[in-house]
Amino acid sequence: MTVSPYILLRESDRREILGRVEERVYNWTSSWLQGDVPAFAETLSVINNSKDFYKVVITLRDYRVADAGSGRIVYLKVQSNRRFANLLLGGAGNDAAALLTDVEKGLVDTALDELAVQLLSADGLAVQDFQSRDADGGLLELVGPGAGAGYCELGIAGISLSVLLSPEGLRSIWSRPAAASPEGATTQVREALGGLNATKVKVRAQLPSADMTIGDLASMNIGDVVRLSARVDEHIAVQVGDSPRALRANLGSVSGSRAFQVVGVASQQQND
Amino acid sequence: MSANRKSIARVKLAELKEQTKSGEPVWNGNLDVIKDVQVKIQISLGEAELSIAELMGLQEHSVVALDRDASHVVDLVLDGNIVGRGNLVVVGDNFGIELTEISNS
Repeated sequence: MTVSPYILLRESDRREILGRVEERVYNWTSSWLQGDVPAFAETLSVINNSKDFYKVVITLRDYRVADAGSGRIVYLKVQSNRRFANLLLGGAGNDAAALLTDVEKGLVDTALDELAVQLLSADGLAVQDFQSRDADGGLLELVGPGAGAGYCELGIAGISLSVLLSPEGLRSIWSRPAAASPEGATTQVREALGGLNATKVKVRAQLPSADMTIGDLASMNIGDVVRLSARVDEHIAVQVGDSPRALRANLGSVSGSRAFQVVGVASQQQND
Repeated sequence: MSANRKSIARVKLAELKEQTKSGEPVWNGNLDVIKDVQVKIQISLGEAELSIAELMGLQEHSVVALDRDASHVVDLVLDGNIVGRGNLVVVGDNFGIELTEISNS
């Protein structure tokens, strides 16, 4: 069987995916540099005149598709520019080297993670329940049979995201002790939790609970209609395992199945 | 106000023995006693199983399919037990449940 190196993806989805990856990378960078990052639109406008900025280029570099029995595995690879690291290492010493590795790793991980989420939600991609990294850090997605009719190239290979970092922002990286680095801590937690990534958690979608008396319950008959206090324009709650935290979501359907669309995290009060 | 210590004695509880021959039912099956007791009914729309990676990857606008067809009945759950099922309907501006099944238990 010939495997087509193409994945069904509409042009609008491709643009949406890239936009969201850019946004996520920008947000990540802003949090690292404590907000000292030009707005992304400004970044793009000054990208060719960037003497005052260091430029990180993350290239969504490569993908390939291989047969995997019940589906196909798509390998995605992201690379960042070494020039960025060299530039900074020249003036910063060993402590900064570790921090900058974190910066690069964080940027790349952020791009990959966002890409994975967007691919999962993109129309036409029958992505199965599998997500991992290969030995080189590339992202693996198992795509079901039927996905990829050769319509449109995945469209991310060779496209780069540029992130400009101002000298002020970089100074905040250098002055940040490695041990106290939030990304360092996050990385440690991420590594510690890495083994849990495949662990399954049940989520339950439910309407707000209805107060009834036992008398009401006992007198119910088939065909009766119980009016609930939940309004149709209200969000539903999605309980995560046994956690008291819940998601707020809109109720709908997808491909004939009941489904929910995430709105946000419910406050404790909303949970109750 | 403190009591005279001479008037204080420890409580001694009498030993109660279950009678083998039962007496008259107290409530005699009369539900009236508990009919006004309030309970909370959960309306379960369905479940999905996500990996932690998928869960942590959720973001605003993410869509998750549940394990029920869109037209499938919903469960009325009391203390973790399904007490009935019904069709999800709209009553005015509110959701409602049209009962199709009532659990015997």
